[in-house]
Amino acid sequence: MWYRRIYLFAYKYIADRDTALEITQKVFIAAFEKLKHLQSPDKFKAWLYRIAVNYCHEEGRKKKRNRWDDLDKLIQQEPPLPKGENPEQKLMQQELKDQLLKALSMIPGEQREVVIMKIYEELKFKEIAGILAISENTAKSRLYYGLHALKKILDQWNITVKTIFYES
Amino acid sequence: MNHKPDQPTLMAYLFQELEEEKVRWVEAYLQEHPEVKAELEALSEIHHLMKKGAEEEVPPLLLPEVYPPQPTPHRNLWLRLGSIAACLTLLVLLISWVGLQVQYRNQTLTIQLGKSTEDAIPRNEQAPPVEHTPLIRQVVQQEIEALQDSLSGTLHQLQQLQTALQAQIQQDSLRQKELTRLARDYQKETSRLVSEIISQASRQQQQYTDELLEAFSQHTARQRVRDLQLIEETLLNIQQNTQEKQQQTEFIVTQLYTQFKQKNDEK
Repeated sequence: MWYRRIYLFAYKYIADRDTALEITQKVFIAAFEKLKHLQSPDKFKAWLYRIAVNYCHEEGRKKKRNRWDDLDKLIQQEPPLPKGENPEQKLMQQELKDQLLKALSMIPGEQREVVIMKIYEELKFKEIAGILAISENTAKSRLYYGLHALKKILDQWNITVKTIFYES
Repeated sequence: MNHKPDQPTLMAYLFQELEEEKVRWVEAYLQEHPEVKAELEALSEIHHLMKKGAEEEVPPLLLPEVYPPQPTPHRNLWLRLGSIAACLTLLVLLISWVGLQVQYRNQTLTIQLGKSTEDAIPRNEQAPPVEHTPLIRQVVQQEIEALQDSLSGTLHQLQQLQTALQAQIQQDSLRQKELTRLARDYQKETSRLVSEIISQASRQQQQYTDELLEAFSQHTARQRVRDLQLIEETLLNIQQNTQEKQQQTEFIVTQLYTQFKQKNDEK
C-alpha cells in the first residue's frame, strides 16, 4: 500500500518511472533506518511523505541542473492531441496520460507537490500542511495557483474535459 | 455577502473541506457572481481531467521472493541412513542394558540375561552344565544364520544406498555445471541487451537533438525572413513618406515663390 502510494507520488512529481522507482527505494531504506526516531505512530503517514518530498526535491534539483532551458519553450510549441476518431483508443489514453504528466511537470514544484497530494493522493489540506510544514491556507493557495497554471497549459494544448470525453 | 471569498476558501469549498456555515455563504456568493462560479467550475474540470490520468501501473518490488525450502533427495537418503544407524545403536544399547550373554564353552551353549553366571553363582555351587542337545545346537545355528542373512541384507542395502548417493552427487554436479553455464549465458545476454539499449538510447538522443536543432534552425530562418520582410516594408514606407514630403515641400515652396513674386509685382 505505502510502496504504491510513494511510487505514484514520486512518479507524478518527477515524471520518470526509473527515477521514481529509485526514489521509492531510497524512501523506504531511509524510513527503515530512521524508524526508531519516529515519536508517534500516528505521524507515520506525514513522516513518510516528508521523506519522499525531500528525495523528490533532491532529484528535482539534479534534473534542473541538467535541463536544457530551451526545451521547455519547445515543449510549449508541441502540437495538441490529435482530434477525431482513432481506433487505437488505448494509445490515445496513454498519450493523454503523457500529456497530463507533462503539463504537471511544467508547473512550479511547490504547486506540483500540493496538486499531486490533493488530486492523486486525496490527502486533506491539514495533512498536506503537516507534511510540507506550511499553513493550511498556503497549501490551499498553492493548489489554487497550480490548478490555474494547469488550466493555462491544457488550454494551450486544447485539452479539455469536453474534448477528452468526446474522443473517448 | 458582497466580499469575495479568498482563494483558500474557494479551494476548501471545491474539495468539500469547508465548514457548513461557510459553504452556504460561498454558495450564495456564487449565485450572485456567475463569473466566480465559472472560474470554480473550470478549476473543478481541471481536477477531474487530471484525475483521469491517475491510473498508473506500479512496477513490482525489487526484492527476491522467498520460497519454502524443498526437501532434496540428499536429505531423504541421509535421513534413512541416520535412521538405520540409530536403530543399530539402540539395539546395541539394549543388548548391553539387558546383559545378554551367549557362551559356548566345553561343548556347552549358555545364553543368559543379567550378570554372568560365573559372578552370580559361586564356583562350588555352580550348576551342572546344560547338556548339549542337538535341538539347541540346531536352533542356535539357525539363529546365527538368520543374523548373518540379516546383516548381509543390511550391508547390501547400505551398498545400494551408497551407490544411489554417488549417483545423486554426480547428477547434482552435472546440474550445477548446467546452472553455471546458464548463468553465464544469461549474464552475457544481459550485457548484450544493456549495451544494445544504451546504443539505442544514444541513437534516439542523437536523433532527438538533431530534430531539435533542425527545428530551431528552421525557426531561425523563418524569423529571419519575417524580419527582412518587415525591414523592407518599413524602408518602403519611409521612401514613400519621403517622396510625399518632398512633393509637399516643392508645392509649398512653389506657392511661396508665386506669392512673393505677386507681392513684388504689386509693389
